[in-house]
Amino acid sequence: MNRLLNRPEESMNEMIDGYIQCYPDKYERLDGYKVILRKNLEDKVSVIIGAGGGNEPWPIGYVGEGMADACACGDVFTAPAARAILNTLRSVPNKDGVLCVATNHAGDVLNFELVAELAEMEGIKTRRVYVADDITSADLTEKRERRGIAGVSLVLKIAAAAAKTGLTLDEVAEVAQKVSDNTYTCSVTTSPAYVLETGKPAYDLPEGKTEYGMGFNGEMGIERTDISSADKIAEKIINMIIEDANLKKDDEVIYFLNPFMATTFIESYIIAGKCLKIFADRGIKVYASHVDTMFATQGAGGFSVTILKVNEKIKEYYNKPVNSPSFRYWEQGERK
Amino acid sequence: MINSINSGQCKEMILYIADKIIESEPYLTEIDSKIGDGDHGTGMKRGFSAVKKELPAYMPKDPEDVLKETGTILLDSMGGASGVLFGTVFISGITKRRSKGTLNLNDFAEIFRTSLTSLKQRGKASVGDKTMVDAYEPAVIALEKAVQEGKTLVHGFSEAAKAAQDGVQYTKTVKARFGRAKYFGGKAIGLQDAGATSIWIIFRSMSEWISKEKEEAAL
Repeated sequence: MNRLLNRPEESMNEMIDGYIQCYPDKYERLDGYKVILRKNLEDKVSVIIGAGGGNEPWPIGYVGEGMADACACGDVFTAPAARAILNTLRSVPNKDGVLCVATNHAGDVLNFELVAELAEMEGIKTRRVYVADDITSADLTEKRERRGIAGVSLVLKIAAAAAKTGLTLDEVAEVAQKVSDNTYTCSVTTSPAYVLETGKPAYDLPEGKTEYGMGFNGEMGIERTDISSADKIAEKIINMIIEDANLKKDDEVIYFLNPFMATTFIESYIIAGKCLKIFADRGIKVYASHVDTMFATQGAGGFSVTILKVNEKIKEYYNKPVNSPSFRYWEQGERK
Repeated sequence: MINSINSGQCKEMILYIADKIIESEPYLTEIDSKIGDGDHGTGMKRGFSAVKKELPAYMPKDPEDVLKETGTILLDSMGGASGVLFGTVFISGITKRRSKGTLNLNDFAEIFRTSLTSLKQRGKASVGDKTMVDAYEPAVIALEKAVQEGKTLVHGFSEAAKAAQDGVQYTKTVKARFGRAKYFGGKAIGLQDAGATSIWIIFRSMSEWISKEKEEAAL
């Protein structure tokens, strides 16, 4: 794969600088760290995120008004350094406490947990929520052990909206944890990602094969099969989610399709439409549908589907506006 | 007789540990190359070289401050999971403590018990998983036992160092649940864990330093 890089080891730094140069009125960088902050932060419970690069546009694209207030980045597929996270906590308004949202991966969890202790010694109170939504990575009885993937976009959006309404840190953390607990994601990979530094395929996935539940760093999935039609793949994914989430007639959900980068707009909406038809057939109510690439590895084809079981409060938070160059969202009216 | 240590002594003791870890780099590398990523020795050396460089100029209020600074330096310089795990050993035991200005055997037992609890929770490891916990938990238990039996600081750390060493031997008898070593399955039997070995070196060095301090105090 041909890529457009200068020095591969500097790619995250160059990207952050480029992002800030494009939107100088909205963002600033914390000097010497791979950290971006929103400008003009309000006094409230701050919400910060942190992650390595490579599952784009997470995490940097999730910083914005009504979204995360700041983000600590690591290198590609590498957890952010503890010092970067700690300085992020010091730089955002923190007198009301700070909610940290990350995906459930060992490196991220280790760094955030230790930083939380260091921050507390300085009088900064934090709560951490690790999104755990990949239904193929652990059994339902160990839901919070699951890997965190695209569902983080819903958890973050809703948690940030809750923070903006003036809730306390514990209340915001409770909302975030509840949303994570009710979020279910399943993915299928149709063509391999490549390693950014080398341009080589990140794992072996032959033409004509698809793999369900493959990790975003190429961890082995749960099933590899010959590729079938869009409808059949959509059906398989949705059925896996319905079963795992134990969705029943009249349950209400937000439905989020996250196409990977090598999968086209045309393919995405074929899949999206089929998924909605299955929900309709099963009597599952869809409160909102959202189709956008929010968490995808460079080069990979395929998609993930995320389902969030909603209640009135979650719907209200979900409908709050956001503003980020990389996170599109629009309010959706009543479905007839 | 030395029964407690102040912040200056704590700093000296940590710098002594740093020398011993740096000396042990080839040994740790050799162990880790057989079963892990092979980078444990260089990571520990990098961390404790940074401690040697930065700690001497640090002005601590109390010995807890020394431990916190040590952990923070390891965290920043080592990076990755090891940085956090060894940072935890030094930091997590003191976050909720009020310092008395010195540390006696009971204080050390409490500090290391608390950080062991954090470490196990954070790393999701227990004894028998072929990790640093296999050396750390017996060392903490030995400290606690010495406290109960009213033993001296010197005796307590000497027992802890022995218990950690036994823990390292024990890692040879179990399979791994984490990291690259996990994929060794039964082939991991007979090989020792590098993280546990580092914990042993840390406790052995503390014991050596305290014994030496005792002799000097007696002169």
